[in-house]
Amino acid sequence: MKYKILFLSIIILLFSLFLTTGILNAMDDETCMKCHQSGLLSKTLKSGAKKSLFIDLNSLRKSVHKSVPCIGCHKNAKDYPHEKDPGSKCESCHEIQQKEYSNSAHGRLYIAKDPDVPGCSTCHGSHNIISSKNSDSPTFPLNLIKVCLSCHADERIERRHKLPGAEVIKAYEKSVHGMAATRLGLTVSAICNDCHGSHDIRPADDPRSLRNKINIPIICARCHPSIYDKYKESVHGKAIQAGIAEAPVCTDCHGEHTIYIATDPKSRIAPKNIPKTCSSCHEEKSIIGKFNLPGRRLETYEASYHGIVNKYGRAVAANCTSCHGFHDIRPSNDKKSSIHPEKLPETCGKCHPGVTKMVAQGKIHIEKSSEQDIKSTYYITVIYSIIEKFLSFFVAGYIIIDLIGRFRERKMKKLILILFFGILSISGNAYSLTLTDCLKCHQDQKMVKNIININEFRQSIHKNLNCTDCHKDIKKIPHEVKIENALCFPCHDKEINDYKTSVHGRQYIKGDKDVPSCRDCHGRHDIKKVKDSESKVSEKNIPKTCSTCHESANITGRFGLATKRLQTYEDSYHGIANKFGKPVVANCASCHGFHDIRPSKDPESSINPSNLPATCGKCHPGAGENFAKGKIHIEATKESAIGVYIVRKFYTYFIGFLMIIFLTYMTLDFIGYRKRKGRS
Amino acid sequence: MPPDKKHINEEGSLIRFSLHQRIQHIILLSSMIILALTGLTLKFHENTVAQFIIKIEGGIAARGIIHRIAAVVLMLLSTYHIINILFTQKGHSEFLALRPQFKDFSDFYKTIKFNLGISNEKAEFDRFDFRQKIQYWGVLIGSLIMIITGFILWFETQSMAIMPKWIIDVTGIIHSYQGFLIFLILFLWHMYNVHLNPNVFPMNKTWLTGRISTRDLKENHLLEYKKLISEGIINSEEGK
Repeated sequence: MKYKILFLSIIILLFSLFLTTGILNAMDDETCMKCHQSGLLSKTLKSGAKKSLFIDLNSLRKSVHKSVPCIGCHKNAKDYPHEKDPGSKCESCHEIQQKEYSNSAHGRLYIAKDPDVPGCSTCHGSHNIISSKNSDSPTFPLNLIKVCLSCHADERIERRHKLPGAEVIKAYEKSVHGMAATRLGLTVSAICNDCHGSHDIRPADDPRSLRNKINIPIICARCHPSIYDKYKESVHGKAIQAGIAEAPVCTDCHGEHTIYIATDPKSRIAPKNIPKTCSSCHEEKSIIGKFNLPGRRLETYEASYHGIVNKYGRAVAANCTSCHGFHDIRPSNDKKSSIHPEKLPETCGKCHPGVTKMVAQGKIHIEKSSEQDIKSTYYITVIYSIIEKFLSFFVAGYIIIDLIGRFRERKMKKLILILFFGILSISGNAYSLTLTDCLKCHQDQKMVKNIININEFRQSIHKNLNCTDCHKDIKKIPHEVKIENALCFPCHDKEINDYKTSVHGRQYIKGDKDVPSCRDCHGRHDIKKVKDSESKVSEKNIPKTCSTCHESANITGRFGLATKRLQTYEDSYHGIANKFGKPVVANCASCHGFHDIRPSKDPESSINPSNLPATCGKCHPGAGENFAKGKIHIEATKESAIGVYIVRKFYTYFIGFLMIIFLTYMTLDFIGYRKRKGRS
Repeated sequence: MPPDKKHINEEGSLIRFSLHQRIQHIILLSSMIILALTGLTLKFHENTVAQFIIKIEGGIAARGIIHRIAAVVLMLLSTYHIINILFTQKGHSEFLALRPQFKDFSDFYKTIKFNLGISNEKAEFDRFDFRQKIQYWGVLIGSLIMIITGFILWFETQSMAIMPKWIIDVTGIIHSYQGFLIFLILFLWHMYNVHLNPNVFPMNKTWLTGRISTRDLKENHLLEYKKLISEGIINSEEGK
């Protein structure tokens, strides 16, 4: 009995000893390394790639966590062998960072198990985490750029999360901040996290987010405090503090990732670009109207000598900021403003030393055509333009009369007539409406419905033409609301004559509005060269342009047109090659013609069976008559292309049949294999 | 001052412009062309052709320098011209022949009527006809305005110190329009009269040779022709 108790107590002792040592010793670091020092240990990721679970002890010993045992982070790895993924928990020590992170744009998605967003280790590393002050650390300022870009330069991620795009973000590398960091190694320069935050990168809807405009000046002020002091006193700064979102903050003028030094011609605040930068708000009608700002500031500046010279790139000429200041812009009624009448001598004196208070007697932005504004300049302009018109009419009239007299002396009556009417027509055109006259109304949504997109027009092939060159029936302002079509005829008479004989043209003359006229294919104010890839009639775009009508059920139904023309074209080799931008491949117009499109029944049509050898022969010389024996748009119905239909049907069924045979054989063979195996 | 006999050469032409006047004319026209090319390009700075010309001139800064150099030449020439017409007998008599008279208006009226075929009466001109007078006075007055306004704009800092800004703005507008007016007079009126007019096309060579044939003299300056005959300087056979 005594032995029995002794034996039992020894066993209990041993067992408890075993238990305690099991907990304490089973998972000490050495135990972990028994397996994790072996190069053989690996796990298979979801993507199928194998990841080695080898842990580099050297880097672990250099890391900030060198004194933390494995289970300090991998709390779930209590047993040995432990569950497959013990995970790592940073929050037990880094509680604040974890809290920030879980509310951040990254953190929210991470919790939603989005595979794109970074967790702790994506930025900090795992076993090799070293202090961010160490220049080898991935979170060391200069290295952090690369870490952020490893995701944000990925176009797929950018697109998926509706981010601005890799180009926008990568532009940082060439900005003044990026250059200072990457080229010069200045850690004080602004790195991604200095503006965006690190753990607490905010989603867009958060009021503390960087996307919230009001926060931007405060963020910039961390490094540029003296500029912020000036800005917050300025008219823009006060407005932002009052919560007026239209007011510009730092990035509106300087850019975000694209901040360049002011002397760089690419910079938005380079002297040459400043007028454009300021005008993005000060020419914006909604902003001018809302805050009762004076309009036409850009126009009047550009008409001044300062404006002209600045446009030609002379940086010494005054731009907006030379007079108005930049960070400390104040309204002219503010006594501290550089454009307050009392301060003007000093402001102008920066370039024109010695100017007196008299400079304030007069406007700077001179609106020549406005009577109320500046009487003197207005009247002198009116007087001179009358003299100018009178003199040019007088001189031109005298020359005409004199020429008539000279020819009269020489008895050349015909010449007189030609000359008279010739000059009359030229001088008649010279005083017609100009583009600017038309745009006075056609840029203003309040006045007319038909807004002309002037940028489109300026890029079009007709950019050098005047409005009235096409809209000939408009002679004065205002004109009747309904105007005739722009007349293409005087310049493009050959094309129009072709068009008149075409199937489209003949129908159009009858007054049918369903058929295309010039502008339906070529566009209106945005007509581009045919070779321009953006043109509506470029090789690549023609199928789309034709299809706007030829794929419309209304139109094909009404005229009884053949359907599925686009689909059959796109399925053909021509269509595929054209889609991929091969320039020498047939498009709609190659076969059907363009202005002179005729139905295939017409003997003059390029797609009449008798003309097909010639039409196809343009690219396939010597094609011969066999081309006409068969369809071009292969739709493969029984009626239209019996040959293709039969072959296609045959192969479809044959393949189906073959598949069934194969599958049956394989199934039977598999069953047989199991049986054979079972027997052996 | 009417030319004396020695001015007439064997071919029956007589000197109208002395060498001294021709040199003045060449200096004037070259400075005017340079001023127009550098000045009007600034007025029409949005025009592509103007932008191209500014590029040729060496940019907007060089354009200004060239303009000022040509302007100095024009100013020196104008000063010289005024001294000449004030203090030399020939210059003064030529200047008096250029003064506007009532006859010029009736000449203009007659010419128009003749050209339109209303009457067959041709106006008879003296040494300078109304066309030449318009040119002279247009350019003379125009140049004086241009010189004054140009000075104000050239020394804009000093100007702003002594006069209100609106005067400088007005000055700028005057300079721009007046320049264009001179351009009109020279390049429409004058170009037509001495180059494109069918009677002289392609060019009236007087500005190079300084001579006018007695036939042209009779046709265009009949009164002067008659006066010269009555003074016995040319024979009545000449000019046929």
